[in-house]
Amino acid sequence: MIEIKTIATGSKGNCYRVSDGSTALLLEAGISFKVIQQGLEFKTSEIAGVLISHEHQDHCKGVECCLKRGMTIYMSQGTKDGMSLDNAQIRIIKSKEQFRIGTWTVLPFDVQHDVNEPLGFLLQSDNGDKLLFATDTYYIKYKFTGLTHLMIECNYDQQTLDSNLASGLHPAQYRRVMKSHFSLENLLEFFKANDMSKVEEIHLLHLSDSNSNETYIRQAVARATGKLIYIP
Amino acid sequence: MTNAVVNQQHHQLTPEQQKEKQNNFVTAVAQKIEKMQHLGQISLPGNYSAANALQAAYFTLTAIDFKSKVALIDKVTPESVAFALQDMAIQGLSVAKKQGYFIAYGDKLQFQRSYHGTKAVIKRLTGIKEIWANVIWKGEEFEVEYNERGVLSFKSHKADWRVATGQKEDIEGAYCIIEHEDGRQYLTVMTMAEILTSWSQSSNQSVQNKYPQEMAKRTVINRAAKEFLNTSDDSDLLVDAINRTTENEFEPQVKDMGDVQEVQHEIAQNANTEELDIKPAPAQQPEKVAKKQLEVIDAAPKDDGQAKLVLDEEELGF
Repeated sequence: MIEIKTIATGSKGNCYRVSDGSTALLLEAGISFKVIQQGLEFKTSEIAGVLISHEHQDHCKGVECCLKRGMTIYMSQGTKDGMSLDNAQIRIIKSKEQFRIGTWTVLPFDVQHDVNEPLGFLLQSDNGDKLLFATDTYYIKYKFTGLTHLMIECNYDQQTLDSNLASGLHPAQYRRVMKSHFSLENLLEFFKANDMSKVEEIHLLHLSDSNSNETYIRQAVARATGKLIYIP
Repeated sequence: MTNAVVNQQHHQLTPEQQKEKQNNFVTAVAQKIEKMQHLGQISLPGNYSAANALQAAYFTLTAIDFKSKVALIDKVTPESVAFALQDMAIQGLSVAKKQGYFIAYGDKLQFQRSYHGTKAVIKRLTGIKEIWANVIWKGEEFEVEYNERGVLSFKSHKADWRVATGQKEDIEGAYCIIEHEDGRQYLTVMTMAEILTSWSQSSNQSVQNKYPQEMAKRTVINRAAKEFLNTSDDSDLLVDAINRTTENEFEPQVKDMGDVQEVQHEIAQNANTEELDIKPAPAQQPEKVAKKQLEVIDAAPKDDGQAKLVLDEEELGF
């Protein structure tokens, strides 16, 4: 059984704790270390590793402090360069090269965002559960099988974004959103293309404050999947 | 950038080999252009050397971008490079003379003509003698009339050099005249409001604020060229290429973000296409392995143990 705890989500910062009962991991550290500590009830030493998807501040703000506390951070070379960090506790990971942390097998894969080398993660626990974590990507190239838990971005819905454009959102920003973040519409396509039979929970992450309509998104995803939906 | 990474992984060529390959590619396009010329499909100006222009283009394309540390040619698909190079060569233009630029829209390279390029190209159309544009400043008198054929034509423009302030606010409009060899003139006039609408599509706002008169001329020349070419019944390759790059000119551009349709197209093409799964764990859990292999489609267990070993020892660094 995978346990997911959202410590923070959205453009102000992202940080999630996932555990399969044996090994606990942090996905992203985009908030100050103080808030991470509070979110973990000060049990930071339980965390076996921190996976970082890319170098935007809302995903990596707390990394330096985590390093100071001796936590092990996993990120791509591009992300490391983007953050201009150098520390022996940083492990460089590559798309499609799986590795182990405790009872987890982690397979990073490339995602589509406007940064150096962003990654998404497929995590499989030794107890058989399989978690997909993908955020800050405007689409996912891959199809997956046997997923049990989804933690996936749903940044905006086209309807809300379009109406924001009509009421003054800059066209450049409009296009930037469309070419860096996951929309509800593309997410629904993703659900269609993937084997959803074993999925137990869907966590929708990184909803934009201004470009998304939460009720509408929740309804649409519920209608498409019939699964348990969390919007933290 | 992801593209570049993927490219590198795919080819595994040394930088020298890569360069040689790219160079061969340019040579191939040059040969094709030469062949078209021999077959009489296109006619290039006597002083234009397609090989030289393509070589210059090649240097532009392979120059490493200071910021992203990737050459333009590595960011885009080879087909689009061939197409953009052809567009340039068919029109007899050269990036070395600033007659155009290469711009990446998503992973497609496009050749975009500059206004020097537009002028050069229009002049090369049979029967065109000259093309020019002027800005109308506030306080100047500009008159047009419908001539005996009912075509809007130029009457007079009383210029006052003192009112040319160089400020955007003082420009009332701009016009472009294309003169045919037989003396007929084609006039295109744009009000400042129209010009501003056209500018609002572009990301060059700072340039337009800095050199409004030059940019206004450029805009009206492009408009004139577009109308002129689109109504021209000449359907040869040159006009095709000209029209294509004129289209490019008016496409909204935001850094490398491409345009909205392009993004949607990209998503439709690439999303949810490739199967990806975790490779079965090593022998410690035989039961699981057997079970999992059933669902794995792209399983390649042969080097799994090794890859993990490397990761465990080197990457985990213990």
